[in-house]
Amino acid sequence: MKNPIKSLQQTSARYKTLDNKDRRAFVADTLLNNAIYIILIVFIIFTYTQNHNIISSSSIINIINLTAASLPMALGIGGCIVLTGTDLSAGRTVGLTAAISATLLQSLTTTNKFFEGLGEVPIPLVLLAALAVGGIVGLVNGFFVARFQLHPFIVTLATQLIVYGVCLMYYMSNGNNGQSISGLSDAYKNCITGSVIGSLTGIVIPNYVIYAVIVLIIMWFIWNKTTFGKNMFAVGSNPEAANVSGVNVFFTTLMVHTLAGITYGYTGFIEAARIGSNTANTGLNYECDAIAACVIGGVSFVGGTGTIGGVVLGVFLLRIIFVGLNFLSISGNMQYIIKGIIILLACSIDMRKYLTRK
Amino acid sequence: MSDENKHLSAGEEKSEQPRRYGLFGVSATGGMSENQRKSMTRWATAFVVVMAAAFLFLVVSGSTGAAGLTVTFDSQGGSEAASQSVLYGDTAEEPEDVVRVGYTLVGWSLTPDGEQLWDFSDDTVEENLTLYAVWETQ
Repeated sequence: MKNPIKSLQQTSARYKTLDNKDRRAFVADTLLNNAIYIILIVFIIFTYTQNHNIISSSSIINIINLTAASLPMALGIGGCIVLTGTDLSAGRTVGLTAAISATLLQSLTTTNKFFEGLGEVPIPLVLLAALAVGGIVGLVNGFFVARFQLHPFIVTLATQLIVYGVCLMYYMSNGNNGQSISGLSDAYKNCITGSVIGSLTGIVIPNYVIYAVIVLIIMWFIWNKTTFGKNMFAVGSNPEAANVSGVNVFFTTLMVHTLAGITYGYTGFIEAARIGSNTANTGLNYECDAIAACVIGGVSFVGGTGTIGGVVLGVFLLRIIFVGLNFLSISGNMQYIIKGIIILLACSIDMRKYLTRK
Repeated sequence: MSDENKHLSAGEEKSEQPRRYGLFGVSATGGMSENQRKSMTRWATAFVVVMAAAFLFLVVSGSTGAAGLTVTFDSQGGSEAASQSVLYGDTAEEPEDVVRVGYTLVGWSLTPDGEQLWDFSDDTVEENLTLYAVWETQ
């Protein structure tokens, strides 16, 4: 961990040694590299002047909840981006695992139950099933990327279509005819959206925030403390060099994608209960938000760079922007344009950083 | 693939190798001359500035700000109630003095059939709404 105060002191000491021209360049560089954070602060202040509700406690809790819901997936995709890849199959995999979780955990009294006559299924078992299905999709992605060195973009584009087809067929099967799946069991809903913290302290933060923190800790450990995590960064920054130094590039690539798949399975399990009523469109475009969050958080498409803290910050910042746009009552159509611009901005900053570092 | 191996056996710098997965199969900056790099840096800088300006412009111009969201009241045969302008995340105020001869007001609902009653003290407005009066015969 870097000490922020110490690094600030070092920066200011270096700044004093510069002459006027270099100082101007230094200030310009700092402003440009941090443009997204500066804009965000301006954005929040502007939103606050227009609508004070954004700083209310309910709005802040809402932002934390939404961050927790999309964080695990962003952490998974972050790994793929570290390998200079990406993963487009994420959203659809969430849709499929959400469908599986929802159908297995409908309450016994629901009319039009998907699996008629199915007794109560233990919740951990369903979680495992969701993780396994997500993991298998990730494994297939990883295998094609690692074995045939195909670009992850095209591999995951293909698996996205396959998973979506399977998902649609799943919704059509058992006489369900594509209807939405709701009427989830109370135990399942309580497990995810119930609030243990709320019953203890009165601040209603749902349980899935706690689970997201646990996933975050596990992912931090994997990225920073295991050989696999170090290998991932080595492969991401230079696969040939990693290969020469004895890293198993095939296995690392395979596992990064599998791990990503597992996080989608987990997200599907959470989303099913969080949304309550699932259709084949559950999870649509989730990967876009997750990829954007990673890029904003400094996981570079150039490969080999990125931190867990950065991903968390990226997800959080993106959520604040999305929620803030609502508070400004900006029309939904315009929101898409603004989101697109944010992503372009983040990529430009990322590319500029890479170019000037050389 | 064979070219890359030749590089390795010649003992060249590994960082000079084209990346395996970078943009379109090779690194976006691999084999770029110093002038090209400088020109690309200028482009990236210009893009950062333009995109940042575009973002702020769209947010400021697209914001309906204090105008906010509109809550319309449909009194369903009773006396008229004025629509309200509410900020996202705020609560609406219950209109006063809405009466209908021969009926008492039960409350206001999101649907004309009166299924989902609106709670004026707790429910926050997150989109443009129409609330329908729910009447009961006296």
